[in-house]
Amino acid sequence: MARGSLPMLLVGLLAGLLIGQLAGGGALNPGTVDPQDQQFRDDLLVMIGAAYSQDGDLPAAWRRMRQVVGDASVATLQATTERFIANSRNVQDIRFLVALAKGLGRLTPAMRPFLVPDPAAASP
Amino acid sequence: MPTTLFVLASALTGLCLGLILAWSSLPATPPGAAGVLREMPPEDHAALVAQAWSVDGDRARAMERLRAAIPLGTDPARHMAEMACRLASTDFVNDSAGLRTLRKMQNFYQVEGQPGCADTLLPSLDGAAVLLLDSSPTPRPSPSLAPPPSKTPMAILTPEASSAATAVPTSTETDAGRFELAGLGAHCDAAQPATLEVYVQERDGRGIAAMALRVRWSGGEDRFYSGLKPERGTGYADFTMEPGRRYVIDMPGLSGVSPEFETGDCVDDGIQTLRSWRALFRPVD
Repeated sequence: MARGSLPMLLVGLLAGLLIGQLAGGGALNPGTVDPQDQQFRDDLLVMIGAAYSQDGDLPAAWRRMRQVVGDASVATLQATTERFIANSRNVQDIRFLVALAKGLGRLTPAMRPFLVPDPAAASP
Repeated sequence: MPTTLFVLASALTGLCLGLILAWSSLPATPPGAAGVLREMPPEDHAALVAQAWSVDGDRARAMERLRAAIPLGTDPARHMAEMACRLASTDFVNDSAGLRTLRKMQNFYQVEGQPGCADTLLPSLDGAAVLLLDSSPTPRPSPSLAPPPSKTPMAILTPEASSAATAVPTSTETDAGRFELAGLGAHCDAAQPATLEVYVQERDGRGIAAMALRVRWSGGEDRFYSGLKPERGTGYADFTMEPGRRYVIDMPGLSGVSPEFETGDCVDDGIQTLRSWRALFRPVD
């Protein structure tokens, strides 16, 4: 092998990795947060709220929330719900989030109008 | 001159290798899902999508949700079927909530005409049912745990359950006079070793309480009733097995006798324990 081939191979390798990373939109840096990531997390929270509003399984909802948003689950849920309300997002989605927030004891005045009445509480 | 060409060729090769390495590390899933789904297994995500779909009924949205999390070009219904298949082979089905979720996943992909292995792992009942499958590894010859034999405790009874338990089961207690063993399968659960779980259910999946069950082994037998653990369902009963004994179960006078089965060593999530069994009885058509 000619002298200098190995260093040039390494330089080319590094250059290729750099170009690949840039072209891949930071794929090698998984810590990057982008709007799509936020949207995906929001939708997961809505789905968790929908599942909870059906089965009432709070431990399962809590476990899923931690998978999605980590330790700050409740605060994130509250912030997301209030953001949905402020942005006039889909009412049904807001109701799912509000039901979950209520289950986790994070009901705020802004959320109250979106509470679905409890039929059991309404009956005499 | 050849040396210069050699060096340039090396640089070009390095560049190509670098590009291949970088692009092969791109996430297979769309960018929004890549970070989040590192924490949430794809099976859980698919189950969540199916649950949400069963609530909002928005199939197009469910499809979009799946597409957002799976490799580009993958059929969402096929993905759902694969995830259901994975979950059907785990402890996910050990509780009724998991089983209900699996049914929703099954409904989701079946609407698209997609088959899945969950179809064969789950009994073809219309409603909730018990899953019968053998998830235990091959038993080893020397059992090391020996739980004491016992049957379903009789102490804690609600008035309804108590009166039901003392009633003599007759053919009028259910729509059908005779029952059949609809399934018998082994599983491995360290939390509940050497346990025979019995479910007596209508064909639509509703549990039937106060049905007499009989377990027999060489030199002995035990009788017990469904419904004495209402927290596990009205048609549920259990019995603790002893290693080294071969058992059969039936509903005396109402069903035929099961094939022989026995407990034995198995490993659940790294814990050595004893194999358990599930049996399902339901009325004959």
